[in-house]
Amino acid sequence: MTRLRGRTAVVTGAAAGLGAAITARFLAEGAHVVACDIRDDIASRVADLHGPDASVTAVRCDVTRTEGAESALEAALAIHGRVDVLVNNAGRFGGSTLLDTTDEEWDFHLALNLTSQFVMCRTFVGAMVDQDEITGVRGRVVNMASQLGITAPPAALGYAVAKAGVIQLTRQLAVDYARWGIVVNAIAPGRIITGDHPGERAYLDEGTVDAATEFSLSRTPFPRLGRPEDVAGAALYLASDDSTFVSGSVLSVDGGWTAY
Amino acid sequence: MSDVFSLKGQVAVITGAGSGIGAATARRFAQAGASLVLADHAVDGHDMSAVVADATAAGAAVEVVGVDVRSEADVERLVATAVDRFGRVDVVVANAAIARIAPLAEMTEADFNDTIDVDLTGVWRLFRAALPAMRAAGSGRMLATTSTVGVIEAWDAHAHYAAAKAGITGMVRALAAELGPSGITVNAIAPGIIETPQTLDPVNSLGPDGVADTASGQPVRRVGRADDIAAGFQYLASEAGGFVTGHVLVIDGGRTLVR
Repeated sequence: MTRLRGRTAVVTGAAAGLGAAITARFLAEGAHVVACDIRDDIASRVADLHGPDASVTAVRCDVTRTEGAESALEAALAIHGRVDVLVNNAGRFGGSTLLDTTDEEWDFHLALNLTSQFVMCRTFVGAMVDQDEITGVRGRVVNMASQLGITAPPAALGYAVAKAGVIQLTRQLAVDYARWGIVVNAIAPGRIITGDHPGERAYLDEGTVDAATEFSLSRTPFPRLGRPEDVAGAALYLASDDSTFVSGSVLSVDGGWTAY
Repeated sequence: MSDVFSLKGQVAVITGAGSGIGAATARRFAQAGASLVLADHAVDGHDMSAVVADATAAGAAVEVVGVDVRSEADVERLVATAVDRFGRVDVVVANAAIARIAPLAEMTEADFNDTIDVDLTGVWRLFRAALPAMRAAGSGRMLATTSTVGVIEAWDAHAHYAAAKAGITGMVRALAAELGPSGITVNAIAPGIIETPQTLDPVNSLGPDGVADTASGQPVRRVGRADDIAAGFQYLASEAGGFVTGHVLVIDGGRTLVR
């Protein structure tokens, strides 16, 4: 498996869940991965997840800040002097209804789930436009949107608006930077069981179905909920030379949730 | 870790395999390890021998079946060939289609019905024919070629084609919901302008100059290739695409974003 051999990929939110699965898949395909996370123990987590000999560089950074994005870029450029793929995965579900949303909560969700992707894109696309092309592409961005940016989840205002913003960010950047050979796409995952959210650990370990899981199962035609590997497969497709004519697309990985 | 794009051991049925997107998909699937059952519509005049030779050289077992997708019996026989020869049907790619320019005032009911018969009902025939084998297996991938025309954009003088292609989107979503519990995923790809014998036809489509011009008028500044779509089908047919269903994947170089 050599689809990303010699390529450098940056994955944010890489300490767990989708980011960890994407990192593992990219490593298996021969990439060098810069694994970014705001958690203090990102380095030891990366070593535990991928082994001491994996071609991965752990970077602790805050991707909502330009300084954080620049430290990730610096680490990436140190490997081969270029960045082939940026996966903007960092984010967190949450929010409430309009009348219960404080200014602080709104700012938090927009910053973490949308501004982070804007900041990372600005920093990395800025470097990608000056790179040489490989198979017609100078650089690729994969933004993590969500089905909740397409449907309207109850009482998750900040998150849902941010993820809808991610979709339009993706489309705008695809149009504005395609002429420089930058390909930008998004993934809209459905309910993916990572084990990181309340109730998911019990579902994975014991098959216990809480109300949120029950609702997800009822809305997902496919007979199982998503796995982080499902999103990693989509990220690989969009990161690989197989998708050089795909740009501005939003790839739903949701077991049919949005179609249903 | 396994190769999540591999189709090793899979059996794929592809219609419209004689040229363009179908031929590219056959070649790609063969390289990815699949066995192939290819539908050949002889009156189209496409020469299947090059596709068969390339797929065979890639190590694939290949069966070619003469099929008119307007015939239920033909399509049933196509799927039965896969079951008889290989014992299973893992993937169907309903790709066969026609596109004929016809302004509404000049479009006969026969024109309209014929396009629907090939482009929409032909997809339905293949999906329905494959259902028993996929249900018995508890898994399967139903894939179709739709178009940006219909749901996403308009073309002049293609009302029949647009209706058929929009119909595929509706059918894909409905069947994703219906067949998801059986472990079957149902998806389509909406290609933009792809350089194929169809689009190079100056009478019914853009012709060579029109196709070449798309490169400068869309965000990704090159002409779309049949293999761009074939690669999308490989993703949707593979383990990597196992949780994607009810989706229409747009592969158009960003063209429909900037209307």
